[in-house]
Amino acid sequence: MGLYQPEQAAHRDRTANVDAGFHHEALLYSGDSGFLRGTLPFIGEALGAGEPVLVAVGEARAKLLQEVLGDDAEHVRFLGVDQIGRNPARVIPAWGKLLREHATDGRPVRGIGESAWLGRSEAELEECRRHELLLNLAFEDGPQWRLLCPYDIDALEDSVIESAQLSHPWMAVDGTTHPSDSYLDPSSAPGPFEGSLPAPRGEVERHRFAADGLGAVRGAISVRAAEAHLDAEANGDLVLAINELVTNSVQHAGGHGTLDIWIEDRELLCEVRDRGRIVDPLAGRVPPPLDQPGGRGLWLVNHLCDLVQIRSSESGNAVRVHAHLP
Amino acid sequence: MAAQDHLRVDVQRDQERAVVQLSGELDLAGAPIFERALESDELAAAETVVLDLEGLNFVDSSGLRVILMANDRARERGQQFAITPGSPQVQRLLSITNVTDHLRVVASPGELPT
Repeated sequence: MGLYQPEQAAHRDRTANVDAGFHHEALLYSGDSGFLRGTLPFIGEALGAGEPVLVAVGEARAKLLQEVLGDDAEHVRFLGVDQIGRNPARVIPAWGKLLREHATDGRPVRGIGESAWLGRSEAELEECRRHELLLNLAFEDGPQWRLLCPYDIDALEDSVIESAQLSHPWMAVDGTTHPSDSYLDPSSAPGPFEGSLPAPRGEVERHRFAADGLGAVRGAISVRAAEAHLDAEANGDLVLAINELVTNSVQHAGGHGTLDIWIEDRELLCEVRDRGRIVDPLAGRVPPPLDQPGGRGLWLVNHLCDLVQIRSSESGNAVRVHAHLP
Repeated sequence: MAAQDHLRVDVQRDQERAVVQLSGELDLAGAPIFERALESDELAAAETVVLDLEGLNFVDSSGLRVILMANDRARERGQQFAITPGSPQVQRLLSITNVTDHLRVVASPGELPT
C-alpha cells in the first residue's frame, strides 16, 4: 500500500514534541486511509528504534493494521476487546501492566489506544471521556511513554472530538502535531466521579439493604439476571459485582443503601446508592498489591462488568453497572 | 436468609495436617467466622494447613481477604499452606484479582504431604 515505510519513518524528527514523561496525543483521522497515515509512522518509529509497541483498537482497524504491517505485525502487540473488555476502566491498568513489563528495558514504550470507537453507547462515550482525562493523572509521574489515541472525525459527534481536545495535551491533525489549546491538566480537570447520572428510562425495582441482607441482594440480582436471559457466567459476574458494591456500602458508607434494577436499551442496569464518598480518583483502576488483604471491591466490579459509572459527591455515591442483554 | 446460606467451618486434624472445610457462602457475614477458626489451637499446631473450598457456593472479596490472611498466617507459623481449586466462581474471583499464582493449589486436601 506504500504507506508503511519503517526506515523512513524512523528518521522523522518528532523529538520536539516529545514530553519527558507521558506523551498523550489525540489523532484526528478520517477513514481507513487517514487512520493508517496517522498510525503507521508512529508504529514505524517504534519498530525502527526497537521500542515496544502495543495496539488496542477496534477489531476492524486492528485487522487493517495487521494486513498493512505484514511480517512486521509480529513485532507489534495487539490487545483485542476480547482481552481488555469493553469497560474503559480496565484500560489504565492494562497500560500500567505494559509499562511495568518493560520498565527494565530502559526504552520508552508506545501505545495506540482507541476507546471512543464507532458504535459506542452514550454512556460508554461518557466514561471514555472521563477515562481519557484520568490517563493524564494516572501516568503524570510515570516513566517515559507515548500514547496515541485515534478519533474518527467522520464517525464521531463533534462533542466527542471537543472532549478529546480537553483530555489530550497534543493533537495530531493532517500529519502535524501541535499542543491542544483547550487541554485541561490533572490539576484543573474535573474529577472522574463528578456530576450525576441520567435518570433511569425504565421501570425501576428498588431494594433497600443493610448488613443482614447481602444474601437477599444476591438472590434478587440472580433472579432478575435469569429473567433477562443472561447466561450463567454473566449472571454470576453480575451477582458478584453488585455484592461487592453493597458490601462497600455496608462496610464503608453508613451501613445501608439502595439498589435499583431496571432494563434500558437492551441492557440490564443496577445502581447502588449510599451515603459514602469515593475519594481516590484511581479507585478500582490500580491492581491491589498481593500483600494488601483488602481493597479489591471496585477492581473486581470493573473487571466483571461491561461498563461501570461511578458518581460521588457530598450527598453520597451512586454506582451504575451495565450488563448487555443477549 | 435461610441458615443453609451461612458459612460453615469444620477443622479436621489428620496427624500433622489440618484441613479447614468451608461450605456455604463466604461473604462479609461469613468472613469473621472463618477468621476466628484460623486462631484455633488445632490449626496453630499443625505442620500443614489446607483450605478445602469445594463446599463453597459463593466467595467475594471479603472472603478472599481471609483466605490471603490464612496464607500469611501459615507462612508466619512456618506451616505449609494450600487451597483446593473450588468452584468456577471461586476460580474466577482468584484469577481477576491476580492472586492465583500467589496461592498453592492442590486437587484434593490429601494431596499435600504432611
